[in-house]
Amino acid sequence: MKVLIIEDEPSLAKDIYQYLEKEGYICEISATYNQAHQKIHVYNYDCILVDITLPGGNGLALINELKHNHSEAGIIIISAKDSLDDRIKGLELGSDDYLTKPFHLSELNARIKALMRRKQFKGDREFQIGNLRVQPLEKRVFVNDKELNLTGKEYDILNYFLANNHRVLTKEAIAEHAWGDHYDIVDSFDFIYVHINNLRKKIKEAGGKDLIKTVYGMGYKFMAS
Amino acid sequence: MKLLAKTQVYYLSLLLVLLIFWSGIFLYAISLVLEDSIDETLYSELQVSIEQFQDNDAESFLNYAKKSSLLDYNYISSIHTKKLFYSDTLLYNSVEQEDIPYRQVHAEIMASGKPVRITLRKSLIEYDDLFSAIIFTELIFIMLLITGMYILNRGLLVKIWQPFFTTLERASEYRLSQKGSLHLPNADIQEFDQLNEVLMGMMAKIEHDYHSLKQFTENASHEIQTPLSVIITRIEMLLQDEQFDENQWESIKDVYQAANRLSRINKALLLLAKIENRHFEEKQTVNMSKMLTELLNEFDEQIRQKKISITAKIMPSNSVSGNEELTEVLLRNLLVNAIRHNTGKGEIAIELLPGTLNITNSGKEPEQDLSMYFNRFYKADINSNSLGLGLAIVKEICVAQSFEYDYSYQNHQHIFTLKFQPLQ
Repeated sequence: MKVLIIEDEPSLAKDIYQYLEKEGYICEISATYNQAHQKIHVYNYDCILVDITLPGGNGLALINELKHNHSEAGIIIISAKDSLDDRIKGLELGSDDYLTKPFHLSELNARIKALMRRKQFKGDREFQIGNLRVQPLEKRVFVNDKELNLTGKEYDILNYFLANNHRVLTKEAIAEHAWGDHYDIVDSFDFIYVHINNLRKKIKEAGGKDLIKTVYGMGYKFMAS
Repeated sequence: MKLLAKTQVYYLSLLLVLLIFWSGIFLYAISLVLEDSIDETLYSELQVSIEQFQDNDAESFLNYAKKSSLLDYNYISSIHTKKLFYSDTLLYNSVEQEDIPYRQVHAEIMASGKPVRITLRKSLIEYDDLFSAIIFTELIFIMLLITGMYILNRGLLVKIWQPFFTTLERASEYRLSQKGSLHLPNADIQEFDQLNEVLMGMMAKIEHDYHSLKQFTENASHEIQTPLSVIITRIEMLLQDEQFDENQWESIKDVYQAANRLSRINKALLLLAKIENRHFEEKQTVNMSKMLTELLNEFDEQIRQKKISITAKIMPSNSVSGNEELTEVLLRNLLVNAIRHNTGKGEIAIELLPGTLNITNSGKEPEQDLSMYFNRFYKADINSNSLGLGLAIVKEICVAQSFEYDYSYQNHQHIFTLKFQPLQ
């Protein structure tokens, strides 16, 4: 799976590159508008991450061009601009998702996975990680053919773990994934603790192995082989 | 004291003092002239009397003098002087039953070989009446003059100072954050024109500085986002190694949490800058009832977790003309506040009526003035996780959308009231 990262900040592009490479993606980086413009005309990508403000041009123009060329690539905008206008403009042009900087790499990863799943399987398939079988469209999870009775938030958190298998997920990233930008309202970290304990209990009760590991008070890590 | 009143007081009191001074001098001059003429009359009458005295025999004259109140005599031991003495005196009048002023003259003469002092008097009562008449007319004159001057002055002052009052009114109505610069009309009076020019120049400069500062804040917040992204993602990359000892974990955790907090502060400041720079001018019809219900669903879990009992009376299809994004931030921040600063097992009451939203929640008694809550970075509870920007954002949104708000604390309840123009 090929991913093009169009981002002018080199260290951020490098971090995204490294994180996604470990997921098994083949990544390329474009730091300018012109460079990106050439690449999207020559190669085909499965997923393109676009920053809106680029040296030499606007990322939205690139999306326009991709759509004009009937590109099949999934497009995620990564922008420092957190305005509804840009969001709507981007989605109207045909981008699939919008992520505001600063974001968590694990969140970006989960979004790419969800997008790819939607694109490739048209969303009607199921996938297996470890002993967990997931039907993403129905939001159902099975352990050894036994369905887990999960609440909405529990499913969200589990799904986030599955997308970031073998990665340390910080509490902040989990909270932001589950509650959005406004996770700091009430003590969300206590919520996460409660939800994760429930998840562990439900998986164990269904005969599954507890694969959620705690990491030094920073966060959690899902370990499915 | 008002400018016009102050000017009038100075002007009219000077006028009054001058007039009183003038009338004093006037009366004094008249009395001098009158006294002079009375003395002359007395003198000539005295000469006639003395002639009569010397012509006739002393006996009959003295008899005559006895009958007259205007003529008096008494014997003296010797003649001390040949000078005449003028003086004023009061004599009791049995008819009028009061003392009446007289002018009198004394002369010492020899009558039938004996020294006699004779006194000739003249009543001043008619002159008193004259003075009363003069004073009366003077008073009327002074009153008329002052009233006239007052009216004239008032008209003149109001006319002359009119441009100044216009300037004052425009300047006090002027708001820096609003659209449109300060414009002051031509006054046709050099000093006022100068004042207007100086004011307009000053305001233009302040406006320019204000807007470039706001723009700077927005740009700075924007520019900070990217390096912050680098910090946060770099730490997340580091975390994946898991090759740290406990101290290192602790340091990484602190840096990571601080970076996340900085990111949240920055986002809030960026939002504030954008509201102030009018990025949200577009207005839509916002269905407050729907928005509020959705937000309550969103916060349902947190509300239940904190064991808060909630009562919501939301009248359906309550709409307002406003910016959808801002209105959502506004409602969200209000709900967040009601949840975050609630007591354990507390309560929240929400009431949405056409044009009014009341959010009441139990909470700690405020230690400081409630208006402080709307200041940026003010935190009632130092230890709380909040940024201290929520209500500052609420305030800016209310200003931007012309909503009115009121915040009070009664019966252990924090009460926030929002007033808006409802759409039919």
